[in-house]
Formats: sequence, C-alpha cells, structure tokens
Amino acid sequence: MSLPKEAYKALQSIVGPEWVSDDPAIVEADHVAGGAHGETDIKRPACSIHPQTAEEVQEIIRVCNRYMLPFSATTTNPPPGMERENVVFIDLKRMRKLEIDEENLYAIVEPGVSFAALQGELFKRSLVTFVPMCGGNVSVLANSLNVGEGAISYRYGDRGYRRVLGAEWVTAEGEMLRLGSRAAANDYFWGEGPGPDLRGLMASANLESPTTRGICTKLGIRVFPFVSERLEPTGDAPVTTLQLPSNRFKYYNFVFPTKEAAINAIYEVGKCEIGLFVMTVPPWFFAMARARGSAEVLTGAAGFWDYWDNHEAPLIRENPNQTSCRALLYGIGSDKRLAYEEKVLMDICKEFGATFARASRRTTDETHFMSADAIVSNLAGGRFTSVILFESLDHAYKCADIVNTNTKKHVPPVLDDYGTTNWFLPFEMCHICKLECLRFASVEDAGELALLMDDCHKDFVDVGAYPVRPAAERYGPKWENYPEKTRKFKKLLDPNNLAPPIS
Amino acid sequence: MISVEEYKRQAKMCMRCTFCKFIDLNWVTSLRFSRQCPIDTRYAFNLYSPHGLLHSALEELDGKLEFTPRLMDALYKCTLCGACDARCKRNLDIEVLQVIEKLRARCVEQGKGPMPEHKVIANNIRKTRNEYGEPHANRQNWLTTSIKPAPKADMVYFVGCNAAYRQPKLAQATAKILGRTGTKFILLDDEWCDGNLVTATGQVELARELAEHNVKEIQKSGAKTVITSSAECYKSLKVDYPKLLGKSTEDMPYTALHITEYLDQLMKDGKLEFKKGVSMKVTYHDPCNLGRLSEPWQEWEPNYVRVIPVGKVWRRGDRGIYDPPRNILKSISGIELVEMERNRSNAWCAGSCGGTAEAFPDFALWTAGERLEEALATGAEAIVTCSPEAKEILSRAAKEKKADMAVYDITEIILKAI
Repeated sequence: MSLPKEAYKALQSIVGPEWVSDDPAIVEADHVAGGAHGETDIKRPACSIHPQTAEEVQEIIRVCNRYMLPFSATTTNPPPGMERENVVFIDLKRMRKLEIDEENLYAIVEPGVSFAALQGELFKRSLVTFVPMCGGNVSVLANSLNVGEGAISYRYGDRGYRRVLGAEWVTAEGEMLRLGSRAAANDYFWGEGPGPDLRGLMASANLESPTTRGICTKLGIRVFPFVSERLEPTGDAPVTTLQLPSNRFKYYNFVFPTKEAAINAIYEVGKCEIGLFVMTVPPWFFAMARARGSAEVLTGAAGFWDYWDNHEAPLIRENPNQTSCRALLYGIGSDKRLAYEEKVLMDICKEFGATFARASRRTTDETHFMSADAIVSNLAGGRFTSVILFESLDHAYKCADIVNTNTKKHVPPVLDDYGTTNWFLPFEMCHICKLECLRFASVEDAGELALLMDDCHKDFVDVGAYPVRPAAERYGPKWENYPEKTRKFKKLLDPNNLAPPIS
Repeated sequence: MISVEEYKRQAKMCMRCTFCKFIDLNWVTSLRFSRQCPIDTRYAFNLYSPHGLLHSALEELDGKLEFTPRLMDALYKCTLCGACDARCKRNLDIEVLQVIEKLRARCVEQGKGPMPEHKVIANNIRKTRNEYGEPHANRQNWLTTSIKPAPKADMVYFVGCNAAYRQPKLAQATAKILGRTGTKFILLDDEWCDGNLVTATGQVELARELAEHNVKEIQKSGAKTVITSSAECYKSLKVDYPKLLGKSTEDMPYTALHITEYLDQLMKDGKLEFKKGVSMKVTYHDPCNLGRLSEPWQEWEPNYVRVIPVGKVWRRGDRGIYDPPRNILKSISGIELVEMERNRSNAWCAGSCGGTAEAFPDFALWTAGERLEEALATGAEAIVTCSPEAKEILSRAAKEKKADMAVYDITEIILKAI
C-alpha cells in the first residue's frame, strides 16, 4: 500500500486532517465494514476518508483521477471493489441531511440517512416509506438504488429504485450529474425529468455491484400517505414493537393445507386489492422468534431446539406442504375499509381451506415498519446465505424447489429445515414476488454456502429465473450479453476504471 | 472474564450488520437522536464502532494488528456504555461488550494500556484506596453531626469515592433519606474504591484485589444487604465483583441494592410516601451502569449445541433498573416526568463511563452535550440521574452550553420531597 504523499495531502486539504486516515487500525476496520471477518479476498484500503458534502466528494474523486487511485464508497454495506490495491475508501456516513416535502410526498436524503430515521420522521408527518427487510439501519439512498424492497412494497410498489426521483450523482471522473427535475432546478420531485433517464445506470444492483460508476450524493424518493395515529413503540429489546392503531390495522396468521392453495389464495388477495402486505412465513422464523422473544431464551439452546425438534419439525414432517402465511389488513381512510378487508380475507381463506393460527409469542409482528428484526432469523455463531430472486409468484415456487434440491447436496445443515426456510413476499398486489431462500451453516462450513449459490445459479439459468446480482458469466449469454453492454457504459463514464465494478 | 477461545468465537460472529450503532429501531422517532454509539457518532471511522473493535480484536489476536496509538484511542474512547451489546442481542446475541473489555485487558497485559490518566488513578487507588489520591482517613469526612450510622445493622451503605470526596452532599442526602425512612445502616470500617474504573480500563488484577477486599469487609460487617446511590458502585457490587471472582451474582454473600430499588419497594409496601411536593418538569437520564449494564451476572461455561449456546443466561439490557427511579419521580407531587427520545435500554451515554471522562475529557463532554441537547428537546427544566459521575459531567455540559437546565442526582430530589 502506498499512497503518494501529495495525494494524501490533497485529500487532507479537502476534508481536513481529522477526516482522513491511513492508520493501519483505521483502514483495517474499514475494509471489512459490512462483511464477515476473513471470508473474502479483500485488501486494506490505502486510506479512509469522510466527506460531508457533494462538493467534497467531487474533489476527492478528482484527486483519485489525478493520481489514478481506485476508490470505493459505502455507508453500511460491504464496500465493493476492495479486491484492488491502493483503494481510497470513501465513507459517506457523515452526509446525513434529510428534507421532507410533506405536500408533494417526497423526501431528499443524503447517503448517511438510515431508513429508521427517515421512517421516524415520516411517521410524525402521517407519511410512510417501505423499509427493506435487511434492516432499518441501512442507508435509504444506497438501498433505494440497490434492492430496496420492503414488506409493504406489496401495496406501494416494487423495488426501491422505482421510487427514486431526482438525484445528484458524481461520476467516476468527478463531474456532477443532476438527474430528473433536479437538472432544471433545485427540485427533486420528478424522476424522469428532461433528457434521457440515466437512473438505471446508478441503480444496477441486478446486474453487477452496487454504487457503480460514481457516487450518488443526494436522492429524492417518493413517500406515501399514512395514518395520522401514532404508532406507539413499546417494550425493551429484544422484545419491542410498534403498536398499530387497532381501528386501522389487523394482523392475520393463517395456514393453508398445500403450497398450491397458498399461491392461489395470495393471488386472490392481490386481485381483491386488500392488505398492506401478505407473505409466507417460514416455520424457522417462528422457532427463532419463540427462542428469542420469550423466557425460553434464558435457556438458550434448550428453548430453541425443544421447540424446533419437538413441535415444529414433527408438524412439518406430517404436513410437508402445509404453508403458513401472514397478512396485515389496512383500513386506508377509515375503519369501515378495515372491516371490508377482513370480510374479503375470510372469504378467500374459506375458499382455499385455510385455518387461522395464533400469532408468534414474540410481539414483533409490527416491526415490518422498521425491520428491527431483520437478522433475527440468523444464528449467532453461524453463517447464512440468502438466495434472492424476483419472480412471478407461481414461478418463484419452482425456483424454491431448485434451492431445496441443491441445499441437500451442499450444505451440512445446522438443522434439517425440510426446505421451509424459503420466504415469499409478493409485491405490487402480486404482480411480482420476492423469493428469499435463507440457508444456514456453521462458520466452518461457510464455504459450502458459496458452492450452493453457484449450483443454484447453474440451474436458475435453465429455468429462466431472475436472481439479484447474478453471476455475469452465467447469465450474460442468456441475457442479451449485458456484461458487454455495461462495460461500454463503464468505459464512457469511468475511462480510468477507478470506480467499482472493476472491468 | 471470557476465555480466549470464547473471545475469538464471539468476535468472529460479527457480520458487521451495524445494528449496534442505532437504538432499537422500533424506538427511532427522529434522525437527530437515532444513533446510540458515542464513538461512532462522533468519529465515524469504522474503527470507532463496536464492529470495528470486534474486528480489531481478531486481528490483534492473530498478530496482524498491534495496539497502535490510534487503536488505543478508539478502544479507550469507547465509553463501555453497553448500548451496542444490548442492540446486538436484539438480533444476533454476540457478547460485544465482553470482547471490548477483554481487548482492553489484553492491552494492559501487553503493557500498552491503559491510558496514562488511568494509570495515575490506579496508583492513587493503590496508595490511598480512592481515585483522587485523597487521604484514606478522610473517607468518612462527609459525615455530619446529624448523620449517625448504626453500630450494627443488616444494611451497609457503600458510599463510593465520588460521593465521599467530591460530592459529599450526595452521600449526606442518601444517609438522610435512609434515616428518614427509619432504615438502620452501617458504614464499612474500611471501604475501598469500588474499582469500577479500573475494571473498565482492563486493569483486572487491581480490580480483583479491590473486589476481594470490599467483599471481605462486607462479610466482616455481618450485613446481608449493600445499598448504594452510585450507579457505578452498584454495577461493581452486583456485576463486576462476581465476574472478577468467578461467581454468579446470586452466589455473592450479599444482595446489592440501588437506593431507588429500596425506596421503590418501600413505596410498594406502603411504608414510604412523599409528603412534600416539588414543582418541576424533569426528564430522567438512565445511567448506563444502573440501566443496561446492571443485570445480574451469571457464570457460564461455554457449551454449544449446533452453534446455539446451552444453559446461558443472556444479559440483554432489558432487565436493568429502569422503573424504580421513574416510579419515585412520578410519585412526588408536582413533578412532571417527560422522557427523552432515547430512554431505558436505548439511553445515550452521558460520557462518564468506562474511563473516558478521565482520559478524554473533551470527547466525554461532547457526549454529555449530546445528552443535554436531547434533554433540552423535551422542554424539561431539569435532568435527573442516579450517578454522581453522570451528574458531574452533565452539569459541566450544561455550564459549557449555557443551557437553562438544572442537573440533579435523584437523592437530592427525594430529599426535598421526603
């Protein structure tokens, strides 16, 4: 690692000496931010730098271009492109400005604003956003340009980048692009705006790595009207919840006798346009929730394994096709609407033979609004992989079978999950479905998870699946040779090849 | 103190999800007060964060990272407030705090730590049995003619260095409150510093020596209950002493009580009523040592079944002393209690814990200033706490910011009302 002294001084002059460092302890901690220890081939960056304004970001990138230094930017996620030597690690978490336009239903965020903070501010204004399932702690800006979905995407739209409006984008050469209505004025309300719509070049998580070809420093995102009643936080961790006003919201847990009945019923729920969300609930989640959310937790493994081995697993063995679902009904506008939604749901459940189940003892159903439980399903001490696809609901079930088959081949399981750790979340009233297949292993067996992913991708290509971050070499030939095309864009926007992804 | 194997296991569990940096997400109501880790909020580099320190612990253990001045800066600026630990146990159950404590102990073992200011304090304690180097003979100088400990009682009042030497009014208030509730108490013949700071800064040998001495003194007194009004001493007596001595809290020869626990119980039993009103809008600051760090300690021999620990009693911060101080304040007529956004296990540290205030006074004052801003946002005219150290630093922050905000220890309020 050798950063030219002049380059370091230039960086210091941009942000001040306090906010740039090449100390081994600093860069060591930064290079693994967002990832697990010692499991990836990443290198310590040459230095870490913390800009506070878009202008500072521009200046930093210009210095990188002057000295031909690769750079990588992040807030909470794993920084991409850290396989290279001499990377300037740009940490954007000091950029934390947030504005909300209540009348015109949009928020303007800088990279350091978390979803939970935005949601908290929106609730005070009777507005809402959908918080991604990975946790309300993540950056609104980064996640919205990436996967960006949440449970209530069912009602309010699909992937995060579809709610992206005007943007400020510093290209890999340090040029400031202003997209959408931001191009015409200091205004973020409109995404398309004059000229070509370039947002897809920033929001390309489906193709390669996040934060591609430059750094987005400010983003407008759509927000949505919500109830005026306060969602009351209650409890102490680990059992906290947001209490929803009972006259406007109601949760239902129900169990269908077969997967097919569940799919058809969920489709019907979407057709009837009821609910704030509907999803399947893997039994694994129940077990983890029970182990963590009650006194059982005090007995550690005993609580969990007792519940799993003696209660959940026998039920699954007895009825392997049985499928648990959960819906949140929402009285938009009035409590009469809630009553209507309940009647419709009852009819659908009756038609498809569902039985109603009690809610989890962990009172955190409501955390979908903050995703406070995002990684509760993980095992401390273990590793997991998450195979994520965006599919039609019926096709998603076929893809889940592929993951199940490959799981048996590859992963020495922490437990036999009987293929039940697949999670189906329909969006846009069931137009599209997110399938997330969580698979767990011990730290020692973590390598098997990568092999599992690889095998799944091999099979996905054959059935025409749509995974998140697909392996370019596998999917490229089937998907119009997209890596070749993105390389052309890359050359245009990053001629010095300094920003990730590396080409 | 955890074994090296368990230390490594715990540190390795971290997947850098960053939940440790935020308050429980369901409790987030604003951008301004959504974060919870003081070093992360102030310094932003990932080294200055729980996950950064966990990763550094692994690198240090593997010989890839030394205790450089920068690593020590981050390690000792951490206030050990335990917010990260409570948050991690929302989802992942990693013993974040134990890893950071062990990293400090390793720093001391290798002759690098603690910080020079901590060494001065340790030397003071070795020589004079108190943090300030004051004559040991003056430890009971706070006593006035009207305060008369009993010759013999079941309850011993553990005063602590700060109340004994720096804020005698707090010791006097505590003793008067006990007197007015008809509670007989004794003082230890030879009370030494509780050792909260030396424990926190990784000076394990001295900490153990202090624990052994004070426990022996308590046993010698014949008292079965130790009461204190210091959050720091409370945590030492209830959590650190058993931990240092390889026992569980329940196996100690005494029960540790914070004065608010005791008075709350008297109120519940109908033996205490506050007759005088105190007209004031107040907010309450949960001291870390009384809140999320005060859960009973239980020794546990690592035992895992398919990666899930067996027989472990988790300390997640939700069983701390949160309600008693609030119950007391609410029961005093004229007091209007308003909560800060970050309260109970989500409370923002005041900056006085972990040796930070001694080694990094500017950063500690900044941390206290953040808390004060939050208190001011409630519209309260006073902030009440249960820690002499927290009171001291919050008072300094109020003075520095020229804030119209009084700072009280809860004993001062109780004394007005009792």
